[in-house]
Amino acid sequence: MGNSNNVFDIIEKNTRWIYSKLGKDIVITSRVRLARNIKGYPFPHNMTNEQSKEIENILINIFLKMPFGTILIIDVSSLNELEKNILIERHLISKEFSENGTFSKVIIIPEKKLTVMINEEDHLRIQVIYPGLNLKKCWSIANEIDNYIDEKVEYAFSPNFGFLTACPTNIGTGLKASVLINIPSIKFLKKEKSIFNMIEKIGINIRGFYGEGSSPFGSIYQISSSESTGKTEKEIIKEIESVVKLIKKEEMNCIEEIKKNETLKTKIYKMMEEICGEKNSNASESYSIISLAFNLGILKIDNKEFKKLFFSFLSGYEKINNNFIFYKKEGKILKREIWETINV
Amino acid sequence: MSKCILCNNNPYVVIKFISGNYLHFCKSCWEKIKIFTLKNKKNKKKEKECPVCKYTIAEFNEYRFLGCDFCYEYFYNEVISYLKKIHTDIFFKGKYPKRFKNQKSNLKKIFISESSIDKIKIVNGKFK
Repeated sequence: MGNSNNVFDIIEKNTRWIYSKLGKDIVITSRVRLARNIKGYPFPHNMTNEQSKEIENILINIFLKMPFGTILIIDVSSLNELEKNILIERHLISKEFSENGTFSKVIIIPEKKLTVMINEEDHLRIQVIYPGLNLKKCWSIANEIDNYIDEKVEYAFSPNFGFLTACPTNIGTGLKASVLINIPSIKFLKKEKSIFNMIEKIGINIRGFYGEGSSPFGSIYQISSSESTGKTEKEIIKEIESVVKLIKKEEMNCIEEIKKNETLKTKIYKMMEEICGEKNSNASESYSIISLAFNLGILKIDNKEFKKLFFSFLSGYEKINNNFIFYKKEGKILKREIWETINV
Repeated sequence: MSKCILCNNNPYVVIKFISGNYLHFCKSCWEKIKIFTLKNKKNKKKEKECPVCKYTIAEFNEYRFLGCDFCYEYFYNEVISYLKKIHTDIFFKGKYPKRFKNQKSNLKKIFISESSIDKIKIVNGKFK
């Protein structure tokens, strides 16, 4: 298929939209996911290899005929670790899917900001990710694709239960709506626990950076719907939007509180000095302070540099060493810039 | 017109399942389901198993996954009681796929309880 660098570059260039709004806004991405299965076939965990192949062929043939410009069809099992990681980091596939083995195809249509996993937990997982807060647009596109496929196959569906899924937690609409939010001020003032307790009481999930079972990255969390049935699709989305608005308001209040408090600002300066020093630092905690300093205007770098920092932290997330800022050449230069910015 | 829920051939009979759903079967598939259901009734020790995908109720209780779409009909009671534990409201309010909109069946609707399955006589595609 050509050399590995080409595959990585193709994936990287065609998926840049994900983090394009990373900056001072608390919402990094919005995502709507639909789970669907084809009538008359066992669910993926219960299929033979032959059946998996049949499902793949049916679905890939449908997508190949879609009039949407570039369509990438990726055999995940043939990717190397780096290529898999970029798909995971950009939330285009789950870690479990990357370990699925032979029958794991993902389809990416950049024009629609659409990703489709074939034979993950369900036959079909339609996923639309938009940068910033835009759940309505995500739903509109996911619905469009869903209707298109509905013309070509018979979905597994029951009027009693709705769309049928391998796991009953996803039945009904088969929809999960989620946002990735960055709340460094709330975290710094240690208010996240009380806010999250309140949110969980109304049936919204708080998850880590990669969703269920993962840890937050810095002050980045995933807020997602937990109920896929008993509500319409629009009601599920409206609920998440309302919660995000509340959290946004709270983050703004916390920023104002910090700005008016000289003791807190001095504390942040000192924490930034430690990060830029030679000491062993935790990448996740450090990123939280850096994004706080960026939002407060203490760290005077532009959005482009801030994004660079994010990506360098993300890639080194699981391999923290003493000089995590130094492990890349660009990182070394950036470190000096951060130091100078604070000292000016 | 609806097709056989298992093989998509022309339907022969419509059965109202315990779930309240009307499911269409062709003659051949209906014969298999009938035989399977009667066998299970006779062999009471064998655990409940989906006639289509062979997934068992024990596997559902352990993994909380189902084996295929037919499991939702066949294990209706068990699924409903599990759903009530994990969802606040299990009444479906979302969008319907196109084939379920304005669907009409041309076949006679037949209400069958388990006890009367072996009493049914089928003559020329019509029930007596």
